[in-house]
Amino acid sequence: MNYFLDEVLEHVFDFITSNRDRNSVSLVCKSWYKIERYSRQRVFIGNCYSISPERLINRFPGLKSLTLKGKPHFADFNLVPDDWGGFVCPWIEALAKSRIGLEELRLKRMVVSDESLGLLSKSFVNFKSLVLVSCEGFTTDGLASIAANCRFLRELDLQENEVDDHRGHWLSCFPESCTSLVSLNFACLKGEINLGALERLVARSPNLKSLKLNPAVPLDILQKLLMRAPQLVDLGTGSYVHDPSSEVYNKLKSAIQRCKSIRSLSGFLEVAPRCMSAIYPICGNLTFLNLSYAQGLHGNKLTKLIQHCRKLQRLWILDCIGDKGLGVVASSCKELQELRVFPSDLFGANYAVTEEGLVLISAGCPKLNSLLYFCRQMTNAALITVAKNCPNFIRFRLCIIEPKKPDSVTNQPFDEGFGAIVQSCKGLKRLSLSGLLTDQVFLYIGMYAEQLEMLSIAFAGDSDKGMLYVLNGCKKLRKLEIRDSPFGNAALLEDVGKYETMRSLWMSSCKVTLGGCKTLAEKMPSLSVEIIDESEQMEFSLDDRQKVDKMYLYRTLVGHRKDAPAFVWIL
Amino acid sequence: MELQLDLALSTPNMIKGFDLNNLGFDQQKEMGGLEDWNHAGGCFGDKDCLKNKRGFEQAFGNFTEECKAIPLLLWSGHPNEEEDHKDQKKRTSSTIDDMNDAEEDQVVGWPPIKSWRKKTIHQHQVGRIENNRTVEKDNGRSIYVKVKMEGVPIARKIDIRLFHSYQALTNSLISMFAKHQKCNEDDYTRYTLTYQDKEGDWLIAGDIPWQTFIRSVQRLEIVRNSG
Repeated sequence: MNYFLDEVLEHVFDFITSNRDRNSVSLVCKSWYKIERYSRQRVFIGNCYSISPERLINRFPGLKSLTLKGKPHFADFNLVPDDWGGFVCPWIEALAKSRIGLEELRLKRMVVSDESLGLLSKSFVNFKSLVLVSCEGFTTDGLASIAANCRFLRELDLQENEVDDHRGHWLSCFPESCTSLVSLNFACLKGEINLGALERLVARSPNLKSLKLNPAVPLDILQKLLMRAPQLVDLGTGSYVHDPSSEVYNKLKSAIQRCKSIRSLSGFLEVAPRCMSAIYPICGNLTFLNLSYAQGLHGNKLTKLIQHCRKLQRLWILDCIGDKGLGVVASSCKELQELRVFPSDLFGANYAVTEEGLVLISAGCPKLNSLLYFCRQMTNAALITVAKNCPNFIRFRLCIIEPKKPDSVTNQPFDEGFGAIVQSCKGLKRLSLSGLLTDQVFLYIGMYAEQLEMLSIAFAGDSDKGMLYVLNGCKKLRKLEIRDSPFGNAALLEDVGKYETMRSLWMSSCKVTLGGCKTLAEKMPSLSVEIIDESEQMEFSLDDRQKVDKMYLYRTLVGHRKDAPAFVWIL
Repeated sequence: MELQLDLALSTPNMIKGFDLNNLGFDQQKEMGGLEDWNHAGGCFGDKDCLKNKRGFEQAFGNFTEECKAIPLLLWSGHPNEEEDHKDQKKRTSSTIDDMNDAEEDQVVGWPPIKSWRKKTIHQHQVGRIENNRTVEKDNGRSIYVKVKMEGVPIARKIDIRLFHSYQALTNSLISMFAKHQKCNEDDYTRYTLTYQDKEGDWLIAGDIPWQTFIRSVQRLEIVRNSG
């Protein structure tokens, strides 16, 4: 029985914004479930195959914002074949037919077609925001429909998508009446852009706060755009190359100086190091700096820039910054919370950053809570020091580039190093391992990583015990992805109920066999167990003892998906 | 699973690189200037843009101020009657040509870098690379195309999917072939990038949109224009 009117409860629920809290609220009683579902506006679906669009629409008629994720994470690294799935089309079609007033759609790792974009653009009068991350399957024609038809569009944010670029007309499709843009990001487009249309669009968008250009936009145009939009908060440069002694460059310097609101800076796919000084005036305000595509920028030009960025909270850079450069970061950026160091030279033996750089950062930046670090050598001692200096890690991803490489000083596995991390960082939610590792590290993870939600394992472990330590110990585990590790059926089948508490499990090049997967599928009808095998043998080889190349399983409320391609076998 | 370390051979003659990111060009004494690397510009869809073939310097817009004489390629000109143009060999990703560099055999999906990022980095590493092939099995995405340069005995193979414009492709080809050339000629000659399409016809590269081009290109050849 409710002691409050429904309207009162609804008002209270308005203050509950986190999806998890909302989910909890809906479990209290039938009445709360009902009130919650009618008032819910934002829904997040981490695996598009776990539920159907129809059930979504039925339960949340007031839906305004939908986030969907498709392919498994390892698809980012080419481990999932094209055409595996993750199509957004059925979702958009179902929503279009319904009375849902969709305003925002955020997709990650999904296949999006121009037709779907066209349908989307025409079906929802109040559509405001489209965010596509690591998606594919569409062309600039699809973008043209969005531009042309979404009259109140506020946000078009394209991050690292594979887009077929059919000439640059899509920008011209924004009508003159469109003045509502707040965020425009087309940095991932590879083709030419109608520069005149871009200038006019920016000129008539007084609310524009975020603008990220692609390399087809030259520096002189950037200068003009900044003159028109000094209110920008978030800027991604296009081609940042020019003669520093030119008039254009001088104009750029003044334009940048007027942009006192810029807090976030990225782009620099093409960069001239001598032009970086134009940015110094705004460095002091920056909280996020992404130089991870700036191949030409290193040495003094790079460190001088960073020294100006005293308020930096997030930094993404290339490893050519070197340990010394990281030392500069450590002494200049005391507010740093997130650091990502990407490899710049994939094929060389360029020992650009080592364990020393990481230790310096940990010593100088006590607020550090998120790390992605690619390096070619590491030591346990360094990791233990890092664990001591930075107990606040939420995300810790270390990639020692050579698989199974041991501690470069002691030649030992990294069990103790990672063990120290999980023991010290009690709030750790995401962990990626690398280097030489035995079952011992998994014992530590199972024992200490109580908040761990996502774990990535590659070329690690000795036996099934390793995987079992994790499955038994990490109560909050949601996503587990494993490749090239010696875990087999015994580990897979020990506690099949565990997988219902998780979003998904990926195992590739491990020791699980077809028979093991079949057993699991039989025991757990609420799971979808997919075998992904592109060799043509799959149909003919029904030998249960055969090892499975790639297995992906996930919990689902709607049974096996109907759109799986021939190389995916759902048991 | 063993990791086979790639053997990246660095040729002693390798030029420092036609590095668009670094405007301090190394003026190589051995190199002269190659004017008029003919190819069409890459700004399709822009009405103001000429679709005519432009000279090399025009095509590189902003860079002309900085690099008056872009150190390009000088050919010693070894007339070499290697393969016939009429060779109808289809492109396959398993065909191996004569290559200077060693075969690379890397672990698929490792290191764990987003393929989008890998492609972008690769694309912008003009002149730095020892070879222009993607080494990863791209699950059918890669399109390997044989590239021959007139006068150069050794053909190369590139993954055309790594490039997204004629400009990027040309940059890469310049640095790729520059390594193999002795540079002791003084006269400047013109070169044109041509390609063989699905029907077997040889056409000049640059007239059709890039996306259409990569779907139809079978092989590439850089030919000399005399006169």
